[in-house]
Amino acid sequence: MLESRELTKKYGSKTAVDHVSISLEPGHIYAMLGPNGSGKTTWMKMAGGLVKPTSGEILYNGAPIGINSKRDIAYMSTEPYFYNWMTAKDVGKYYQDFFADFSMERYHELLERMELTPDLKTKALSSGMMAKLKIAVTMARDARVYLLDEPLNGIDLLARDEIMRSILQSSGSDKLLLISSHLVEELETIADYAIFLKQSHLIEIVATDTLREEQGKSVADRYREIYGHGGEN
Amino acid sequence: MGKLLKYEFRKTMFLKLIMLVLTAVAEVLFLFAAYRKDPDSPLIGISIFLLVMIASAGITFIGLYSMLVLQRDLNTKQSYMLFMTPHSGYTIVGAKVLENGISLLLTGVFYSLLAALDIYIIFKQYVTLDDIVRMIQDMLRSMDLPTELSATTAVLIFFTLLASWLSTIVCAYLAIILSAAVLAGKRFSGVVSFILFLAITIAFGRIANLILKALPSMKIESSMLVQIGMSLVLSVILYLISGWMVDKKLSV
Repeated sequence: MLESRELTKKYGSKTAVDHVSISLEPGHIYAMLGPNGSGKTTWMKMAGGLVKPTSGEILYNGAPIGINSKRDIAYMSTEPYFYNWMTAKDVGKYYQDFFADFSMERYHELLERMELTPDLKTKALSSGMMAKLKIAVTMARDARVYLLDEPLNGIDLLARDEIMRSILQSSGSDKLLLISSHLVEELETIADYAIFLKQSHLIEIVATDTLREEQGKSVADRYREIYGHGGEN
Repeated sequence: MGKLLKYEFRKTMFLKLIMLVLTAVAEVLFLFAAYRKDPDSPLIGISIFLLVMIASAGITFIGLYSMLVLQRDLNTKQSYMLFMTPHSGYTIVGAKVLENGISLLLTGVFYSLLAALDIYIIFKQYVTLDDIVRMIQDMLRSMDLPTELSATTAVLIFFTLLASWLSTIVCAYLAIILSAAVLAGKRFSGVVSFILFLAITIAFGRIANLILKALPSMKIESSMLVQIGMSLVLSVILYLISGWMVDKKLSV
């Protein structure tokens, strides 16, 4: 469904993603893991059509990323990106205007669950509230693919539960979810596969069940093995 | 395209509101002065000066502000809002060019109608028709334009200026996109794109002059039609290059 072949992105002399080949299939939740600068965000942005690869290719249902893939892929950036003049209501209207799979009803339901109101101005939101708004508007799409970059960043524990619930509600046999996060334990509970990236390279893709059953390790254990104790070193 | 256009108008709404408020203030001042009919008061002169300044600055700022909006749409995180929508680079840039063209046209028509109304009021309140005709002829003579101005010529002058300004704006778009797409992260990318903007503008001006000179002698109206055509062709070419660059090269 979503596949990168020898995908590379360079910013000047810095290589953000280096010959990464991954094939992701529907019906699964993938956790994309790795410390800062490992290439997670850049890979997702390329899949979302926001960043152009330097070499290699990224395909959605066999075709290059473009207008058609953007109709099916719901991308949520880790950074705030709404226009300053928008209220939460405007954000919903914007998505409704551009994405046929957006449900205003579900959006309002998610806003309520996240304890947000439609009249909130985006420029006045705290980072936690902004994160919740981004999740609400992204998950209100009935997309085929969800790319969620650090959806749990800056979010308190209770809201985190709501977000995880929304994510799980959106999963299905024809859906693909790719989530990046530093909170490995949190993702471990829902992810079918873990993708480990390190210094712009793909280290491995492993089924979380296999890891537990055959190697007797959790995803967090494997994370520590790959990146060293603490993960960020 | 319609939805994109709607949001492009929304992005420039604030500037237009400011222009409208300033115009309203100057117009109220003008109407008040005209109503008082005091020949010694400087108010009428001041208000006319203000209206002319606001109209000229307004049309200039609409172009400049659209460049600022594009710059922001390419170089801040807000770019995700635009580029995650299922539209091609051609449609995205097209919506921006179209919004600017429509805004310039409507602003031009608005200020032309307002000017016509105010000239009519001056005529009714202050001077004779002959004075007004003489005043307009003096102004046209100073601009090397025909003094016997027909409605057709006036409309052609309006569209020549509009098309020329539009081509300048689209050229600036290309320079901004080039800076963001191809020269991103490179040293002096801003300077390079500004030089490119100047080079295209100057080269086009020279080519346009050469073409006009090469053509057989023609009336000024025909010459203006050729200029409008050339400006629009240049705008389309620059737009196509910009759209291609956004589609193939731009990372936000």
